[in-house]
Amino acid sequence: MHTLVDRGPPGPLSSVYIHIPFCRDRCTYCAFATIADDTALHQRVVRALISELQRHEFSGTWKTIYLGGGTPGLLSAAHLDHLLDGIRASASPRTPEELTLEANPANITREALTSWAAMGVTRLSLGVQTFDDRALRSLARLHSAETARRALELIAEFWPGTWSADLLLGWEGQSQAQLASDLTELARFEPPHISAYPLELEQGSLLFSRLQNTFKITSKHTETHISDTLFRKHLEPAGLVRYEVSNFANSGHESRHNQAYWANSEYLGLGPGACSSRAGLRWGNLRDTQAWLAAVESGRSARARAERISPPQRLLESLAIGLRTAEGLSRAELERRFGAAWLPVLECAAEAPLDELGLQLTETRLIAPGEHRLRIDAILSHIARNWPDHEVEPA
Amino acid sequence: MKQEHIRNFSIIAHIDHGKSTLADRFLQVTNTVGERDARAQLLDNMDLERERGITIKAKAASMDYVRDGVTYRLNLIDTPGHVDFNYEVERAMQACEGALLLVDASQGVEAQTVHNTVLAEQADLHLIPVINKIDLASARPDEVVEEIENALAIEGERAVLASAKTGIGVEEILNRIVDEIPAPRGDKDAPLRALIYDAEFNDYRGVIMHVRIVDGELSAGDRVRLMADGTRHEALEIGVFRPHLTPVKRLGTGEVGYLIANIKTLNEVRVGDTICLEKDREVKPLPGYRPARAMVYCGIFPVQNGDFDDLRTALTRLQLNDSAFSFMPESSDALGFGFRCGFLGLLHMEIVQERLERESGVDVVQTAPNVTYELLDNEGATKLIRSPSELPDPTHIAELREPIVKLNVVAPDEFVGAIMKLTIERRGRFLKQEYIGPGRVLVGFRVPLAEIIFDFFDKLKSATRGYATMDYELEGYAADALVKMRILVNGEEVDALSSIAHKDHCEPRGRAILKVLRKEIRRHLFKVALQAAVGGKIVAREDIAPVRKDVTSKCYGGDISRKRKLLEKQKAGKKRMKMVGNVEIPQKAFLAVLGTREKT
Ligand SMILES: Nc1nc2c(ncn2[C@@H]2O[C@H](COP(=O)(O)OP(=O)(O)OP(=O)(O)O)[C@@H](O)[C@H]2O)c(=O)[nH]1
Ligand SMILES: C[S@@+](CC[C@H](N)C(=O)[O-])C[C@H]1O[C@@H](n2cnc3c(N)ncnc32)[C@H](O)[C@@H]1O
Ligand code: SF4
Ligand SMILES: [Mg+2]
Repeated sequence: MHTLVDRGPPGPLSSVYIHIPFCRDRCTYCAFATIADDTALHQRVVRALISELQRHEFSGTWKTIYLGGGTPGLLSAAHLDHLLDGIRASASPRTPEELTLEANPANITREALTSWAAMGVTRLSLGVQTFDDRALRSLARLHSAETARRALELIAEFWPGTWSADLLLGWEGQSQAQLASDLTELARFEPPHISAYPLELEQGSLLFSRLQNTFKITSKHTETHISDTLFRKHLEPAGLVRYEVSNFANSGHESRHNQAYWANSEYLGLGPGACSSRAGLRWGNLRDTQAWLAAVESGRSARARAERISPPQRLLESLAIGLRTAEGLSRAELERRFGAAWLPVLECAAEAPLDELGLQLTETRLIAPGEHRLRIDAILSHIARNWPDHEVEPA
Repeated sequence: MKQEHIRNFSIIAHIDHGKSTLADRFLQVTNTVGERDARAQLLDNMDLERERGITIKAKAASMDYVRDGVTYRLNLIDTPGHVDFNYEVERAMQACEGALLLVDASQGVEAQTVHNTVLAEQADLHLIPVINKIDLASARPDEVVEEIENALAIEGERAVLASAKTGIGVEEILNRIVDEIPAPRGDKDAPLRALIYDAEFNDYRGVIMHVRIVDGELSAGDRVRLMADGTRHEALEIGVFRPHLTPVKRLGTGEVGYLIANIKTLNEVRVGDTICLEKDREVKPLPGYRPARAMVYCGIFPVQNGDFDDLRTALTRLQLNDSAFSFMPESSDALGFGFRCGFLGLLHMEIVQERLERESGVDVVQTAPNVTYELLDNEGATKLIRSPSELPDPTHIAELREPIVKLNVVAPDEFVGAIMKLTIERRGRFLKQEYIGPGRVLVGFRVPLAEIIFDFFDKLKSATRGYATMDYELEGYAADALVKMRILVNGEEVDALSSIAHKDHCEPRGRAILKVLRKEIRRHLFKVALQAAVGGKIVAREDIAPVRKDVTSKCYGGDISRKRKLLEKQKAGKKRMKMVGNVEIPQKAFLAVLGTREKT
């Protein structure tokens, strides 16, 4: 028997996610904590986000700040400025290495870009999803393909920082040809970064209840992903590297914020439904915006549920997210965090030599090389079936 | 109650002809059940019976019926109509002197009507024919009278025209019962002899024995002896079914009721046993029952090996209440320790399995059912084979015999061609064809049980637009070219998946089984090869390709717990799987052999 420990994250807390719950409309597949946009609430939400942060008594450096949603682009420049000032006030130095703002193509104007840049946003993440107008309409996206093209042109021309485009894969009826054409078209705008996730059927989304009612839920709704062939043909020529299964970047344009997640580091999440991971705990906030507001404004905790992650659980997570990255995990870091037992525990759960499963152990790293990385969930499912329950008893 | 005022009768009929509904009317007319407690098919009180709308267990009820100032005690036993539960019917009959034979006025005489009539005559019961459901627009009582005469040799004019739904004819039936069914014959002055015709287990009260007093009488507080094992007990409570348990001080000769004697060990009570008073030394036991003959067997294994003892207890308990069900320990390489269980048919098997899950909460894996075979070995000895895995190497087999049944099918004559074709395909031999009424025939065959027990009835129904009914009776064993087909998963034999089949059917059957397995077994990280083999020869093969790409799920957004929980679910899933080498086989796959017959 081997004893796993969790000696804590690779570094101090330095990433914060801020959830802006407003959306103009609800996309059919989305189950994030959002509400219909209500400008009367903007100010209250901004204030509450700042006081929620103050409750956490953070002092340190924010290396990455991520303004997500919902639609942060719906906040006025003044509110955004106020919010960012409040966040940065807690930290020193006050400028993060990366400050991302998620935006909808419908909110991109030359003025917006200029003001975001002026308030310190270094990275834009644009929800393009697809250039197929019929799909955009059926997914209830707010924008058309044309709007997305215009937004991309504006960004190419006026955005000083780096940026990323989100693509959605595997919406109903999407053919391989349509996927290829989305990639070709997007590549023309030379995005420094692309995130391409397959559509997940989420409980609580309109799509889910619709399909549930018609008994049409099938695996095909989540089958699609970007094959190696598609990647080589459409993205590699643009200099994009597949640095994670679903993420592609030009060298130096990787998402630092996401990389912190993937290293199973600590992060703080502010706002309705946001998740945090800190001091051995992981928790989620109240998802309902009014409930979250009420809690924060009355000085109560906005946590809805928290769990303590045991060392075996933490190791399973680290593998599940770390093995999706091209560089995999560092053996030294695994050993530091989990103790020497991490490898015997993994080998024991694997029930077969690691390389037979598609994992590779080099001098310094544990990786899922090449094609194996594209079936990493199957590999992990296999391992998870034999994973030790909680604390492994000492011999 | 005076013996001469007691009438014991059962209600028998083909499935759905209205037995339980007629029992409702009796309970109502005799004021046994008040308005408030009345509900349709009141005696069908098991959840499963209510859900399926059929009677599974025979059930007794005592009613008082007053005529001309005399109170008669009518004890009725409502019986199930499905062929699988014939044994229940036979046992009920032994507690009765008469029977109401119901025939649906629109469906007419059906296969099970014929069979039940024969059983009732063998049991020497006085039969009162009742043509039920005459309220239906489609009722054709005149033709049905003719069918009763032709097929059952019962005088048609004796039939009561009735509707259990509207109540027409119910009083007449009650009067006929009083007038025609003989009072019980037993000797009230002889020492007590009571037949245990059924039993059930109650968590608080222990075993509740259902008894018929054949001779003498039984009083509360008597010291009694169960004759088979000689165990002694006190009659703590005796009573009658009204229809819920109602205590009485005394059960006289000919009466039907229950006995509670604080018996907590399940195997102390045997259905068919005789109860006498402890003090009586020289009592001769009643003949009891012939043991039920299992028609099909399947393996039932606990999913968790640790549940073996719980499973044994649960099976024992079920057996007490269902003496047609039998079991014995068995072990399988693939499934570990479990039990080989015998049933009267597939519906019986399904019911037992469902009761097992509901009443015990043990998760079980069930293997595909098979009939019993008789093996003649080279030394000339015969042996009963209850599971394909018991079969020795072919070189030790001189002859393999399978059960043969006499099959009767009743249907409109336009379908005779279709019925012939279907049955001949199943290795059936035509025996006879008789007209039982205008345009309605009874066709008889001799056919291997294995060919008709699984999906034959469904096929028959669809070949006859739902009109045909069938019934069968075991005739004996006969040899044929039967072989064992093994299933290999990545080269490893999975004993629980082997089956016995006619040699000409192996290839298509093997292919069909593998197709189903292929669907049930998930993709693994490596290739999984499935093979069907007869002797050393592979007759079918399917491969399950390894996972090449997968869904990269629950990865957008920062909720890593979600992703982990998804993986942790896999672990819970695995607990419900059986491992063969490093291949996970879901429980459902073990039934694959069953679902595949129709495609062969
Ligand atoms: N119209 C009409 N329907 C009836 C009559 N008697 C019974 N039924 C209906 O026939 C169906 C079967 O009735 P049951 O009383 O359950 O039949 P059963 O013979 O006890 O059936 P099993 O116990 O499963 O063999 C039910 O839907 C009854 O409502 C009747 O006299 N007239
Ligand atoms: C929640 S959105 C917020 C940003 C912005 N509102 C937008 O829609 O682009 C962030 C990303 O998550 C993706 N997303 C939301 N629900 C999803 C789902 N069910 N499956 C896959 N991706 C999803 C969206 O497509 C979007 O690219
Ligand atoms: S996907 Fe984005 S825009 Fe659509 S509802 Fe979700 S958060 Fe709002
Ligand atoms: Mg019934």
